[in-house]
Amino acid sequence: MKRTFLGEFEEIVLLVVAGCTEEAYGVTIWERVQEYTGRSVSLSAVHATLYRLEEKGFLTSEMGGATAERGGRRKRFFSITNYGNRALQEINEIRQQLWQAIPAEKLQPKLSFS
Amino acid sequence: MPEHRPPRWADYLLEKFVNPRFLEDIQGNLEEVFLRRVREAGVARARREYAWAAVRHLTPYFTKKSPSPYPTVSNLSPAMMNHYLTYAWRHFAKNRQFTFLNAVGLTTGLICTLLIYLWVADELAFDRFHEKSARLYKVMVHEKGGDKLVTSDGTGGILREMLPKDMPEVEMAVCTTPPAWFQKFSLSAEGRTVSAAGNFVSTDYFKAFSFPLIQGNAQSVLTDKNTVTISEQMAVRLFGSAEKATNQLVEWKWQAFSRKCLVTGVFKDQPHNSSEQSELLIPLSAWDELLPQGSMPNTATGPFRNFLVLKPGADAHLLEAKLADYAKKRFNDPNATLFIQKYADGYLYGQYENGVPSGGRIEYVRLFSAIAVFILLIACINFMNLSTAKASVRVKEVGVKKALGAGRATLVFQFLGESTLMSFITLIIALGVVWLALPYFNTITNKHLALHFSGQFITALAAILLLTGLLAGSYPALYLSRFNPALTLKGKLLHGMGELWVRKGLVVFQFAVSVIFIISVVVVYKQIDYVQAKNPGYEKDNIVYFEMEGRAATQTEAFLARLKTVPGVVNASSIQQKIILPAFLPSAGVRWDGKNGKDEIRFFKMPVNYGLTETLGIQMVAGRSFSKDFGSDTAAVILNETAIRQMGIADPIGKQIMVDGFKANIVGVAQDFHFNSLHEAIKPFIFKLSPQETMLATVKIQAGQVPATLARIQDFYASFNPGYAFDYEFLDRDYQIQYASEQLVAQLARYFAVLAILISCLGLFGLAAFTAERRRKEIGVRKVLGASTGSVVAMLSREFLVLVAVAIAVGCPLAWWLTQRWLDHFAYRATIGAGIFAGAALATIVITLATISFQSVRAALTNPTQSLQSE
Repeated sequence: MKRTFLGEFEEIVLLVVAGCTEEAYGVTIWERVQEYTGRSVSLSAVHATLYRLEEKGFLTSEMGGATAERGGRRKRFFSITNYGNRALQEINEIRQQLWQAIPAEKLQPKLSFS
Repeated sequence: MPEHRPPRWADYLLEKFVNPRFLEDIQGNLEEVFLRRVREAGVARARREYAWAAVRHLTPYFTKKSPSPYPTVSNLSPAMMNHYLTYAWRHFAKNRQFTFLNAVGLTTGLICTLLIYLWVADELAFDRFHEKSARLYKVMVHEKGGDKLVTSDGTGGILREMLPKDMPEVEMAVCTTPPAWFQKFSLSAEGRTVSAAGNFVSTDYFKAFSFPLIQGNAQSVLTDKNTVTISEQMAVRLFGSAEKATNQLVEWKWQAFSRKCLVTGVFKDQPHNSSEQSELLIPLSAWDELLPQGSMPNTATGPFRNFLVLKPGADAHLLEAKLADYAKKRFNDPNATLFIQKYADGYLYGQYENGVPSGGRIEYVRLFSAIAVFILLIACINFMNLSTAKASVRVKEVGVKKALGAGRATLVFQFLGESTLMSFITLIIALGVVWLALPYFNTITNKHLALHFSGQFITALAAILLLTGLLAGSYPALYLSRFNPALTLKGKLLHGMGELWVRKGLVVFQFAVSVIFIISVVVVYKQIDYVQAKNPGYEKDNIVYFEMEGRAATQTEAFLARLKTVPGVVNASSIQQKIILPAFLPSAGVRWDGKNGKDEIRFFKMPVNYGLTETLGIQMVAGRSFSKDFGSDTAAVILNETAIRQMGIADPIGKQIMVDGFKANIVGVAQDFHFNSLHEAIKPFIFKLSPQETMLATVKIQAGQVPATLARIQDFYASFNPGYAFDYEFLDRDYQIQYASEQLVAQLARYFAVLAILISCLGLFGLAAFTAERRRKEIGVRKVLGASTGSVVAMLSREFLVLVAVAIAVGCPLAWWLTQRWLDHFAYRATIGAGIFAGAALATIVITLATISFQSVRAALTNPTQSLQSE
């Protein structure tokens, strides 16, 4: 793995952002992460990861318009950058290679006769 | 549905701590979730969850400040340093005259300061090198002498044995004879005879004092009376080396005494900054044999010097309290009060006035320290004045810098850096000059100073550097950095009254100090001239004295008789001690008419031989001098006028008085003469005829034939007294030694005064140049309108003359007060008239005019077409 080192949680968050069809912001991403992984995740963890990914250049963000339901506060919408895309692809390729390297019989569930 | 709000405190925490970059998004998301949770789980739960989620955002990641988009540069960063240096260099290079005046002034000031620092450091280190210095004390005594207490270090030899027994604080005591007793010893070995400064010291001498032994050890040397310890130099002169000297036989001779001894120890030459200066140390037990204990009374006071080493941690104050009545209790002597003084303090704080410490050499140390500070201050003032005067040139620079965002601190740093750089460069130059000048300085001050870059010296240098830099740079830095950039860039100059007053005040200060210097130097010289010219009451010129030893001591009469026949010798006699008595106490025991039973009046007593008053040229105002023509002269005394006056005797000649319990007849009254230095008033004095007690041959030589006659005396002495070295002293030299510190002050003060005036004039020259420059156009206009050259010169000079006049008005009273304090040390003073002050004022004005006339005349002579052509 070259420069594109991503932690497991970072990878999930990045994948979630990439997978969003509508505009992704903090709350939606937090909900999706919990939905996909089935874990309880704090909002602060998601925030920290999002900002960190932005600092590293995998994500970019822009502020949306003012909204009523958030006390008039704007949303920060995240979208994946080219660099983020490439990183995800690289990770996927490596995973694929690793999967293919596994001998077929090892993937068979082992039978036990005892 | 009512509007539900998340907990306020949680929001407060978020707003307070979370970086504003994240805040809006985080708070929005939290609130969105909160509103949903209110619907799903109720208000209370939603509020709890909101608070928890908010608190979890208070991690360093969210709270850390984001870096400013406009980074500030530290004033001390390398880039800024480089900038300061570049600007300083450009400024120096652009204003050559200004730089030159500043550099010369500061260098001169620093040279003075460094030289004085070296001298003061050496003085302060005097006698402080002993390992046991903290515990080493000298026993001193206040004695009733007439109506006053007289303080001396002359104490009884018996104290050495008694004090360690009686006082538990005392670890050891050392007793020595006073070195003043022995003009010199003759030391012979292997056929060579040299003279040596010697002393008798008790066994523990080397344990108390840190004089390293090259041969022998501190425990065993000085124990046997048939041994001696000599200095390394002495060993080399007699035997070639310290090693060869050990266990060799030498013979020391002093007056009629001599002894063959074994050299058991060789000590390193005693350093220059030590009061102890001996080349030959003889065990005190040998002295006891010369003059058996019986002949020396066991008293608290006496001729000896006693030193104490206290036990570690012992309380010196307690010991001093116990010593106060020791003489009364143990010796039944109510007139003497013993006390102790730190040995290391003896050199600087040696003077006592009526039993109270009254300084001593430390006064000169303080005086010179003050001179150093003032000279440096004058030099710094030059820098300040010239810098602020140059301000009009630099305000634009300051304005541009401020407009570009330089803070005041940056500018202060810049100007302080400039002055520190200047003082650094000048310090290097000054060090070079000091290094070159030290040999001359050493000759003047009679010291052995050297530039040693020890930690202490480097610290002092750094302190001087910083002090000079900050002092010189402080005013310009604060003043220049204060300018309002908008005004300065518009071309408006700020010349407030405040600035003008400060500059004028500084000039007044400089010249006031210069005036004080001039007057003080003149007063010191007048007093020294007075001392030189004053007739001491005896003839001090062409008088030589030397110790009589061997046959000369035992057959004094025959020796003197033959001495008188040596060609060139006018007269010869003998006396117990030299007539100039620096450390000699008046003694008790004179009674007359049943008066003076309690020794209210004490007398200096001097045993002399026939013909002494004639040899020294002491005049008799009544009666006659000692003469062999009168058979009864063995009980004759001559008193001085002061003695007769104080005794209140109307018709003294032929009167019988009691001296030390013996009857004596007053045969003559001698005119008052200064046997003490002019610092002291003349005291009662008695010449006692007692040839057998005399030790010094005193010879009057015909003027103009001194060297030849001395050579003849030497030949005669060698033939009369083989095996003894002939060492003589001139009386006029002793006379000068009494005023050695005054001579030193006079010489140094003269140099420093010249330098102080020079520095002040440099500053004035710069200021005059600046003023003339600034008023160029004004002068041009005046000349066009018909002003004469003379009137322009007068106009320019007036401004400075007023300042100098104020300086004179301030300086004269201060100088008068200072010089009077100094003159108070003398009982006999030169008259200091108003003429000196007028002369000094005139000199200052002339110097000022000469300094500024160059500039003002040049400005006045400039053709107005030149100064007015532009614009």
